[in-house]
Amino acid sequence: MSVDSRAFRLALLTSAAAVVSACGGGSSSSSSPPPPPPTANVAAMIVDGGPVVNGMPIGTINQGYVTITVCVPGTSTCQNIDHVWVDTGSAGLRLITSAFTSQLPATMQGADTVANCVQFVNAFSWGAVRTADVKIAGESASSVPIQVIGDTAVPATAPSSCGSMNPLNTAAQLGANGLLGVGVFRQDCGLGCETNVPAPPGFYYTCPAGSCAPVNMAVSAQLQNIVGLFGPVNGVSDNNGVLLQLPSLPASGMATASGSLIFGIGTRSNNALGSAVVFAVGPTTGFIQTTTTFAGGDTSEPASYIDSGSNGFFFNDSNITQCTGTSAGFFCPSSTMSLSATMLPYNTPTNTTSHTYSFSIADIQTLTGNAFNNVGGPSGTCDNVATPCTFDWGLPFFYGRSVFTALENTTITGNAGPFFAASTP
Amino acid sequence: MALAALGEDSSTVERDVMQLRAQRSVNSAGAYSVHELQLPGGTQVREYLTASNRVFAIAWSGPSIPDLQQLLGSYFPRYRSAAEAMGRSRRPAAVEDSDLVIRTGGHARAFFGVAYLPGQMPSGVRAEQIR
Repeated sequence: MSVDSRAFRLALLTSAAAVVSACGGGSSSSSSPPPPPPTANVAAMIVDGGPVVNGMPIGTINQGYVTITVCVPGTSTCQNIDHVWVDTGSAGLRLITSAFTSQLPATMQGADTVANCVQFVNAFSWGAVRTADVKIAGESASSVPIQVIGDTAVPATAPSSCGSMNPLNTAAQLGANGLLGVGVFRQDCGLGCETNVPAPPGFYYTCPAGSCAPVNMAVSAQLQNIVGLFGPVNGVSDNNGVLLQLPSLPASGMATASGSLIFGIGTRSNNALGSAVVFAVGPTTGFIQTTTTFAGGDTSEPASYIDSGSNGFFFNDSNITQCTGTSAGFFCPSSTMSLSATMLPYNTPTNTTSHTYSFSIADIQTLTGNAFNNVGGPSGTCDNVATPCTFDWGLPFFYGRSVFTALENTTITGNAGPFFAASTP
Repeated sequence: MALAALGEDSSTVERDVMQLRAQRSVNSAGAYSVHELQLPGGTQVREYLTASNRVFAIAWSGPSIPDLQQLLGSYFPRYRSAAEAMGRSRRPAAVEDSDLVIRTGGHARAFFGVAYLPGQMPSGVRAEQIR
């Protein structure tokens, strides 16, 4: 996940634009038959201004959300939670604490509630581990460990080995009521958190007498990518990955974009890989590679990824003017630039797959709305020695495409996961 | 008490080993030595010391971000300021000053970064050697 937001300016614009409907197809004429009911494995995904905080939408940009149902395990005591951010760059369900989530049973070690930490490159979230039955789009997973962010069952302040940078512990900070990690990994940590002695920092903790220290967690008790846990629906298990489909956008952007988060890959008629190009993902790092030929930029980005939780194309090109002020972190070219970059699997050149994708970068300050296919900014300074360069293919890449994220330890029509796949052009 | 290592002497490396619950190996490369700290879970921290035992660079990589408040010590506030200056940005923060360079990156399960003091590098040592 990687996000910039121009919260205040966009919040004002968003409230004025809230009545604008989605691009095309958003309204039905009186002579049309009603649309068919949604397919069992399709969750409606929306890119809008985010959850309402203090009476108005936060004003997020390029954050795509779904509504998810969580239940006290084994009961029909459930709640729908809207504006849960879809993130193909992480694993596990994380919800901002509420009166409902506090009813979910907490994971304990001895007398202590287990705390969970998630690190982002520049930020972190901290909360308790609780268990819920999770349902979305006809799919369900039972007794899933989730993170409840801001949960008062654990100390409010995270230990410095979790994070000492920007906390994302409220809806306003996160830009969402939760984060649904549907990336390539099945757990947030994996075997290292179960077996390493002493326990690794940055994931699971207990805090006896308010003093937090890392603890081990069995793989099955860690936060789980819910997709891998989905049981069969009408005899079909949509449990090997996800497909995101978002509409094409005009260059001027939209207030709202409506698309789909589709569960399973190659499991039903609506999620076939088809002619999408498959990019193998590093099984440890989650990285693919990118090469670029920008005049003022890096030429090789070995630490690249496709990430619905990033709200722009993030790469380095010193020839593109960077914004200042409220749009700092984005590009502000004087005229829209047409660019392209070549996506490669992690194991290039042994694996000879490659595809060049074209995209545009506009001056974000000239755009109004919440969904844009042409915004980006610089990624971190890099040297390809201690700090490998990154091309972050964020949500703008997803508009007008089918983008697949396949789990580790799967094989889909001969392609071994983990992988990303994307339709052409 | 300064807990961290960057810019300080080798005794702070001892504190890092304890605080980070790390295992350490030391390699000498002439003008400098490298203290490699293996953290639980696979993250590596490499601290570069001058011949007079002063830490002039730190690099890290692995599945979690090490405790940067600990490792950057008195330089940490400048890194945090760089992050805060980006507003709600969660992209990598960087410091590119004449006396301090900090670069970070990565995503879930694969993070990396480097921090060094250009003015305290042993003569003949280039930034590319820090990795």
